[in-house]
Amino acid sequence: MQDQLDHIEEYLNGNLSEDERRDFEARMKSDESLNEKVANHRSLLKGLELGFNRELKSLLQQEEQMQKQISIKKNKQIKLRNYSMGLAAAVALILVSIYSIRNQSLDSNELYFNYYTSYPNVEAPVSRSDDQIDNAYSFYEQGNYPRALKLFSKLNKENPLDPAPIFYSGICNLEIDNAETAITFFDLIQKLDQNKYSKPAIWYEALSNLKLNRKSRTIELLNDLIGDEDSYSLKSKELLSSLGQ
Amino acid sequence: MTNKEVDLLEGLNKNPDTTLVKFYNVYRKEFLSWAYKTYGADEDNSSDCFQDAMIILYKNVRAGKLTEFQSSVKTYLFSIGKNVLLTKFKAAQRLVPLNESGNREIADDNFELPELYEGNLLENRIAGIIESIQNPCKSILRYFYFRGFSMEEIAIEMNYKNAQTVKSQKVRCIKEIQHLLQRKMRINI
Repeated sequence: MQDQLDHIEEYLNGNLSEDERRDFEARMKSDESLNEKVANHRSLLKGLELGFNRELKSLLQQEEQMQKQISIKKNKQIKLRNYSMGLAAAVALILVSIYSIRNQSLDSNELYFNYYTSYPNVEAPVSRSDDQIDNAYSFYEQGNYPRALKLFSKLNKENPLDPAPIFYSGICNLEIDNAETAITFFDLIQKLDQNKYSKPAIWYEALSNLKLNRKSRTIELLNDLIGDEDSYSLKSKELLSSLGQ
Repeated sequence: MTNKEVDLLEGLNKNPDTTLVKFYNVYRKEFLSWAYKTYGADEDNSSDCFQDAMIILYKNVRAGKLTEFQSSVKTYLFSIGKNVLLTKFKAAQRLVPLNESGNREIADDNFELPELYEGNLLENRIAGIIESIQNPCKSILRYFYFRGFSMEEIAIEMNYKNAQTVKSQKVRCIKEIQHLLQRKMRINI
């Protein structure tokens, strides 16, 4: 069978010489079974080609589905992020306007509410492959702080040196009025190597202390933020002057 | 040739699945937005056409019809994609928008959309068997008939003793397909 099969394939692929081809076609004419085998093999080759094409097609279709899902998820996250950042900015603007209109000495609690805005979620868009991470940040964005807190503590156990879950745990605690616990999380950030949450953590630790009416500790922390030309420095100077410094 | 073109041609030879997916993702977004702007094609239609364009590109490379690019990979792929789209639109009697000269664009004269997935009843049955057949048959048949490997190359790739062993195994695989086909014909599925 093998030799005959080779011969049939060579014929169908056009690999026979002119003489061999003529000879083969003559045999096909006289041999009905050979003729049938050639026809069957032609169908087999076509069927094989179709089958493998279908597999490639389905591979690309799956990829297309995946790309669509990724872009839907991305859009959602961008929308949510824009929304929460926009909201935070609007709230900040309103509070600052209220403050400048009143422009008078305020007690610690009032000052806290004037300056406090929850920190935007800057983590989830880059970590979309992980469900647990996704959930923690999406609960955070929805304002479901107790549930977010549970997931952040899980994440923290898995990776104790990652500053993000520690920082957001602090914010969650502050949101649910656990300023004391929040301070322990912000303190933890300071024990890690310098990272993108180092400054925000000092700022929020200062606010936590302000909320607890610990003015001298607040002033101490705010003084740490003065120096660099950034928003934390500006906000700190402003808050310090409101505190009579 | 640019690095991208070398990557594509070598990749299609070594690892067609990964390479096709990779290049699909490189140009997908741009093709979809171009097809929407130019022909008003929705994402489902244009992604379907672009997938076909990728498969046609692979078949042309494999058949030796494409060894270098006259312009660029992108121009080549977009041109096939456009022809596939215009051919499918015509078959569906869907009109494309008028172009600047007030005509409706049609596929290039020398372009013929190959029948990629459907054949006659017998061919479709065989295709169905191929999709479900197990290894080593699937790999051997794919290497030999779809990717154009020699028996020697398959022996190395799949750790067979020699080319002759692969050849005997291939014959057994073809017999298996024939057997499955007969069974399918008897129960008429």
